[in-house]
Amino acid sequence: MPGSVRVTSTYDQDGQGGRGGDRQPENFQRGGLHELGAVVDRVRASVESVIEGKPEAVRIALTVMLAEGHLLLEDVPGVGKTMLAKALARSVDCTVRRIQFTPDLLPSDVTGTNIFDQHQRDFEFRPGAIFAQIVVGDEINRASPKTQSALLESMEERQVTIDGTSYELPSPFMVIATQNPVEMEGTYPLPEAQRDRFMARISIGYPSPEAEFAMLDVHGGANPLDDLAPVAHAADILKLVELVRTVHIADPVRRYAVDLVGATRTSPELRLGASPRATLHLVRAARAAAALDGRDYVTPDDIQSLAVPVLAHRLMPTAETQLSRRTSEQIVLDLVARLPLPRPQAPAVRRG
Amino acid sequence: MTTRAKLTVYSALASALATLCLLPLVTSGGWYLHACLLIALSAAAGAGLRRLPLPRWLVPAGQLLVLVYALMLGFAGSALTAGVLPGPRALDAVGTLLDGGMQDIQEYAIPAPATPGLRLILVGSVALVAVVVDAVAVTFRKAALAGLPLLALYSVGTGLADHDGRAWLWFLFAAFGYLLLLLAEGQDRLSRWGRVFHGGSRGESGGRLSHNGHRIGFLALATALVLPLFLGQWEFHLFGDRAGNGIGSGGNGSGVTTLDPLVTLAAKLSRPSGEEMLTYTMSGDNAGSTYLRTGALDEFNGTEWKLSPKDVSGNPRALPAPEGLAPSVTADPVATAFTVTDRMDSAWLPMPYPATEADPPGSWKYEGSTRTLIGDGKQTTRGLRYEVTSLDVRPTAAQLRTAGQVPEAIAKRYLTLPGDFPQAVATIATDVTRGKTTGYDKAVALQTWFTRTGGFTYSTDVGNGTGNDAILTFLENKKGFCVHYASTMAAMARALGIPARVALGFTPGQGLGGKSFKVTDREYHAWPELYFQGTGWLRFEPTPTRGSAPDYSDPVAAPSTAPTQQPTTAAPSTGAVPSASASSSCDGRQRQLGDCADQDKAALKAQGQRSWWLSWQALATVAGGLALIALLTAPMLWRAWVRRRRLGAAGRRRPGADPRTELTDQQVLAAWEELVDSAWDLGIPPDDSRTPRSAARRIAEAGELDADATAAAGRVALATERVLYARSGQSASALAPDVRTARDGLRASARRTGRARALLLPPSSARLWWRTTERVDDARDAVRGRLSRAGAALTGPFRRAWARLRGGKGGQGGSAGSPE
Repeated sequence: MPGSVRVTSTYDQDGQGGRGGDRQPENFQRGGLHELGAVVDRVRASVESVIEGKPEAVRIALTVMLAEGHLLLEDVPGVGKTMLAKALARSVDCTVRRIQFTPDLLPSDVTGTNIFDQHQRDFEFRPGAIFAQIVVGDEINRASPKTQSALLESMEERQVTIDGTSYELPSPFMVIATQNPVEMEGTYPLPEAQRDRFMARISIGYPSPEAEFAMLDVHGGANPLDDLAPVAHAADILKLVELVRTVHIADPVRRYAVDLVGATRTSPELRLGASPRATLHLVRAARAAAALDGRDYVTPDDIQSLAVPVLAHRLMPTAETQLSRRTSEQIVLDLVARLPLPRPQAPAVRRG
Repeated sequence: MTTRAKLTVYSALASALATLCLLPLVTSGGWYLHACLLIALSAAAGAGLRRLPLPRWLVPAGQLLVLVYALMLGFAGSALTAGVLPGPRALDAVGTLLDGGMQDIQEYAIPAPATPGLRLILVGSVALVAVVVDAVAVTFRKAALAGLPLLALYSVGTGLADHDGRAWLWFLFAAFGYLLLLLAEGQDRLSRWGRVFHGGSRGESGGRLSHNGHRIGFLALATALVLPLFLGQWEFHLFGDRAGNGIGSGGNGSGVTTLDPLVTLAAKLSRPSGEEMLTYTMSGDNAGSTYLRTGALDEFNGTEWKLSPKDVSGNPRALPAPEGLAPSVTADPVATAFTVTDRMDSAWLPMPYPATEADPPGSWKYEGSTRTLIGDGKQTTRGLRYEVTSLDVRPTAAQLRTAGQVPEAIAKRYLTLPGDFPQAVATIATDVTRGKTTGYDKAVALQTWFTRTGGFTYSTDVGNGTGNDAILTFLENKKGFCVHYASTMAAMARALGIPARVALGFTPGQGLGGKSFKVTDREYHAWPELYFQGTGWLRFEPTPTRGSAPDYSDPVAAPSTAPTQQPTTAAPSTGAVPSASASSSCDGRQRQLGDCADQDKAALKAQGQRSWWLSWQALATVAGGLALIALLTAPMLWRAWVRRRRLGAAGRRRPGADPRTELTDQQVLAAWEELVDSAWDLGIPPDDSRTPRSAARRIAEAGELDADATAAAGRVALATERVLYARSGQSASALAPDVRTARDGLRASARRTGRARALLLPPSSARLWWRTTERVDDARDAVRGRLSRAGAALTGPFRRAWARLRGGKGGQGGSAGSPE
């Protein structure tokens, strides 16, 4: 039923902000990073004007965006998940669609379907809500697993196949999904395959009393989202993504990422460790984080700071671990604290 | 069975096994069953009491009560009220038994008959040890410490009994029991962690554990082997001198020594420790050859020389005139001042003979016939200072040759020989003195025969004894020590009609310069005293290589007329201070005659060996000390060297170079390591899981650095991060100042003890240890690998041949063997 899809708004007009990123990629290293910083700062300021006191969540959301990943926001109702998703979507000048996942939502509502055109006497493809540059999936775990699975192909391969025909999705493409913790009523936990496709999962958490107080002031009046204007163009984002791909990652850091993901597979507290895709996501996110930090190289600090958001939601603790009330986040933090950094190899260092 | 119950059983078993070594102490072994019963009883009592919610110290107390009751039941059952209740009567009975046992211990030699008193003492003490073992090992769970009571039990058993070579058997039993106990405790300790899985452990952790175990074991073994080398020279001091109480400490109840001072003497001589017994300063010319006499044995009964019943009186300050000394004989008074050390605890006062005046502090009694002073009651020479005036009697040969008739009283007392005195001895005496007419010449002939012509040798390996049989054996084997020579010569002299007795005391001590001498327990000696009318008792010296022969005993050199002639005993070079120590003593005349060349050589050799041994030990001690110092200062020195190297590399500029010289990667990393290690030295251990950035942050937080130092640490971390993770080709400026700034900041916020530790024993010197062990492990692995390859190369052909053989068989059998 297409009625269930609420495509809220589309920003396809040229935004007023979001330019200034037109320099050539030759002077990538210094100038590119500089520019990236400027763009990101604008977006960040824009988002933070709506979500106050949560710079960390905003930073990771931006990291995921620059790393071409998808973001899962998991938290209890009412802390501003949807607000964050929408703020991020609106701050960037690109096509945005919003899907409200409900139990009766069908896969075709998400991906689109072929409709028989009486005039043309032919099937015509009607794209679903997924055909946008930023897709906000609200309450994704309220939909049945069947519908959730409709996202699998689109999220990983950035295409949709209907009746044997593959349709490319626009670029950049990012799914920002929100969900309530699975213990809540009337929810279907995301399948492992689905969770694995999200680059990072973050929870927003309750705001500090000061932030909450300030929020009352701001939100008391008009909806802050209304005032939000795009500050970056989709093309800027694409360029930044390109830039992020060039961030240097040294062998020891790569090995550290592999070691860390490997450690989740051998941890006795975990039934299922992280996949090789997790390693890829981790390294990509680390690149983006380094770029956000103004560096053209990745350090193990980036890996460490991203380990929990990138890895925790992919892990399945054993029954004993669950019984002892240890969460995946704690396990990942433990691993990070225990795993030694790879020692610098002699050949890598000997160049002076 | 729970592990705790196992521990109880094994501790009882260990006690019972260690008790086995007491079996040889008593003739019958029935008491052992009784002891085992009591051990089991106290263990059961302990197990029961531990089940009750009692404080722990109450358990052994309860065990002791049960033990006392069981002992009463076993040894004084008839005295119990109504047959079961203990009362004062039972206590009295047990006390009487105990007293009896104590007396039995003094009376009987080992093995003793199992009298009830002895049984009570044995069973009671064994059960007591068992209670202690049980309390320590089970109640307080310190099984390793339970080895101490067990060791006490074992050492009592082995120390007292003569095990004729079976000591190792008892040791095996005792050690086995103790090991069982340790094993049980290990299981108990492990089981308290939870269920024990016997599955394979993870290779790595097990390997590391066994690795550490090997190291600890190796260290313990090396210590146990090396330490005794250094302890060797203190051995006697550590465990005390077994024959420690001096000759004849009659006054304080140590019965054996009173009864037979010769036995004590023999023990002293066979195991001299070189301890200083006394020092003295003596006037007169013959100070270097004057013997110190503590007593004399005057009665010979055929089985031993001993003291006849004493004739003691109070100590007259001036002693009576010496027996038989005529005024015509030269006798100059000599004054001697003695200082006795605490090591000499004798009831007999050392004095030159014949003393005329002696007034030592304390209560002393005078024994007239042997002219000795004996402590009254518990009076001993320990720590005594006193002065003695004595006579230096210098008769001439002529005077001695013309000695008159021996008075009846003396003859009766000092010429008595037992009825069964062997005729052979008398015959030998007559043979040796054939052609000599006077008593004096006969005595000299005997002395010469013993010391030179008779072919006697000095040896302390000969059994002790002074009786007829001992004399015969001695004359046959011609080997013995002073006791044999003295007693034999005295007996022979009696046989020849010369009154004689055996004197005990010391040879002259080692000169300390001037007229002072030091006497150690090497100088213990016995010699014969012969009586000549007109001169009284004179000493002779029949023992070869010991002491010095008196002048009058040499008819050639003895002044025939001029009594004032200087004695020649002193060594020619030293004159006033003769070297008269027992180990190298050889009187001047013997030296002149060249007779003691061999003995000298032997003595010198012995001394040489000892000095070599001593010097070796000294060298080893010095080397050990140096090694210890090196070991202790190694961390500090190594750390300082490492710091200089690292910072030198990171901070030194080539002369004339750009001040912002680029550092190589190694230099940057060295600076970083220096920062991390400096923090480690001041109490912030490194964390392998931290990145340079977070490590620097942690150092700044934990070390409470100020802004400058924090920034400096941050710069070092950033440079390190660039080197490690960024694209190559980035430059870094000198970091040494930054490291120094950070280090100064750390030191400023550290406490004084922390700074001292960072300087003297820096924790980061653990890297030295790691590096060393790593190298050792690598080397060992390499050797092992090479060995296994060599082994494979050696056995390879055989194995291939074997495989072929088997393959051939398989083929013949038609089975589908593997293609290999």
